[in-house]
Amino acid sequence: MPPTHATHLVADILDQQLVDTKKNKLGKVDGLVLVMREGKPPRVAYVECGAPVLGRRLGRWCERLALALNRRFGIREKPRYRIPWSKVKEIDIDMVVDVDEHPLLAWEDWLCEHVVRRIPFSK
Amino acid sequence: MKSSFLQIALGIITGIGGFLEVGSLATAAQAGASYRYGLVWAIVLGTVCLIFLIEMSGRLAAVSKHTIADAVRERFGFNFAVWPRGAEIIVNLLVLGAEIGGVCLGLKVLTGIEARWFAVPVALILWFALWVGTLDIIENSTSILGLLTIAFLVAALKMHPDWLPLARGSVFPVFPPRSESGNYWFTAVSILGATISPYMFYFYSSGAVEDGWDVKDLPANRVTAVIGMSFGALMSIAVLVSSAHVFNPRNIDISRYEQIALVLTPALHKWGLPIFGISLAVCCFGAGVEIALATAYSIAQTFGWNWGEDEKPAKRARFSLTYTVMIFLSIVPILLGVDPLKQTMFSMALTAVVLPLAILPFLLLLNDEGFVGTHRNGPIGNIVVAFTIFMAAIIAIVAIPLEIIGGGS
Amino acid sequence: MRRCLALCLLLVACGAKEPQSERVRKTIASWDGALALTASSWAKGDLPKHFVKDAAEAATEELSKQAYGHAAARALALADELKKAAENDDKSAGARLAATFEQEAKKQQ
Repeated sequence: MPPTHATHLVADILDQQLVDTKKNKLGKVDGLVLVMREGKPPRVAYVECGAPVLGRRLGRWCERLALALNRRFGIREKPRYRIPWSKVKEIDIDMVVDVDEHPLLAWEDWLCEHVVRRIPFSK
Repeated sequence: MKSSFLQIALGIITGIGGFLEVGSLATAAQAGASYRYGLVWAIVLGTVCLIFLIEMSGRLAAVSKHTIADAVRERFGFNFAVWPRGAEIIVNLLVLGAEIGGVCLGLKVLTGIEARWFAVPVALILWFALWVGTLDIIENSTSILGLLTIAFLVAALKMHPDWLPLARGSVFPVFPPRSESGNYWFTAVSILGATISPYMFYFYSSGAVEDGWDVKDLPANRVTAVIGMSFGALMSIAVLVSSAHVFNPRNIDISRYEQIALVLTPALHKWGLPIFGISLAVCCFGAGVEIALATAYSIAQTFGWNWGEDEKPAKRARFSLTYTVMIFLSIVPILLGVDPLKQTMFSMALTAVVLPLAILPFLLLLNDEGFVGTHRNGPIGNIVVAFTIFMAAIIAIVAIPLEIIGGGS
Repeated sequence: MRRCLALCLLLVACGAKEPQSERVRKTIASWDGALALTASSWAKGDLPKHFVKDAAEAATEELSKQAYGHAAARALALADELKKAAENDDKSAGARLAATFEQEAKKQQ
């Protein structure tokens, strides 16, 4: 369905699978950023992804732990990444987003380059 | 759409890997040795519940194009999903270690070399099979090798079972003297815990999505679930019957693999031990494949990573590294000298404890129009799932006290 | 919910454990039976000697536990004899020991 038909934030958007226009899996919708408007219902401004976002859902301590681990070991500059709602193209089995430059596959690419490709028969 | 043969192959490998693995072999042997046909009903009951759950896993995958782990996160949120995933990682690590231990024991039976020495080579072969293989190759080859287990059926038939008591034992519990009732129910709980293994659902639904099943495959899904699980159950019952005729008359209680290994010898003579060793190794290898993949599948699907056994590891880096880490971490206990049979019994008790959490989502997902549309559960399906959750909850509560009272070895 | 939990635990507790002496007797009889089967199968050529040695060692390991004490002395001695027979590939000794194990198992019943 087009994004405008999504009525349930939790059922239709939160924890949905994110894919790009080439159907590569980018992760899940870990959080939502709403804009509160005076005298109007709130509007979804961004979908959010990242370990600290997930961590916050479990508790503040989890969020802080995720941020600390990212500072120590992380390769993503932005551990919390926001995709503007305008980039969401379709919501069906997966949520299709039109993003080109993004850090969502940073870990996948790093592990591929530095670990997996060094093991024989991986390609 | 894949051919029906491949679908049935998925069903059989799920059956072999899920049923005939180190836990169910051990419990079936124990049951037959201690209680003759008195616990066949536990295998039958577990199988019926499992057939329904496996069919539901396949239906969910075919209709919604979601695997279970995927659907659990989407429907219930990360705050819920984190609990079964977390429990699953711990339990599967132990069970995978027990299965690799089972392969090592099979090889020890064949060669006489201490089981511990095989742990690293077996882990490497298991890892290599997943690293370079595709789901089709793995499904087909393990299914074909698993057909060796028909030897258990041959041995059981050669023992001339008593059909009427066997039929009765399939339906009604045969209660032992009061002093043994703790052990009887402990063995029953162990059989149910070993039969209804959550990793089987995750493996089956992921395989179904990877194989591209859709609504047209629903009838084949039903047939596959019934044939695959029934095949496994039949072999499990065959082990119990052989054990009933070999060990029970001699008052042999099973506490070590050196006893279980004798189960085929009276019927198959000099072929008995080697066939037991090879069957044990193959079944546990199949289970190891299933568990390693099931864990990687469910973690990848929960976090939305790229996943799939059919793609090269470089295209599925996090997924491939997950099963790699699982496999090599799981062999630590056996390298430290932990007895595989004891590890098996402990991990099965732990599986029993997390079972209700794993099965509860089925009741909701398979009745949710948003996921399965018009292909929701019928009343019988819902009754079976509700009963299974109730039974799993009882098992979860009594598993540990029964282990203490009934005295697992 | 609490009543249900209490009922489950009560049912579990109703399955009383058998007395220690009974368990010791059964375990010794069990190993006598297992080694009788092992020795007789080996004597017939159905088992390799490395397996017989492993089985004898497993029996020794289990029966050497403190719980069995002196009751297991005879079974331990016989297991040791079986192990030596396997090491020397002496199948006639195996056949003889199989008969002895069977007699011992019958005594325990």
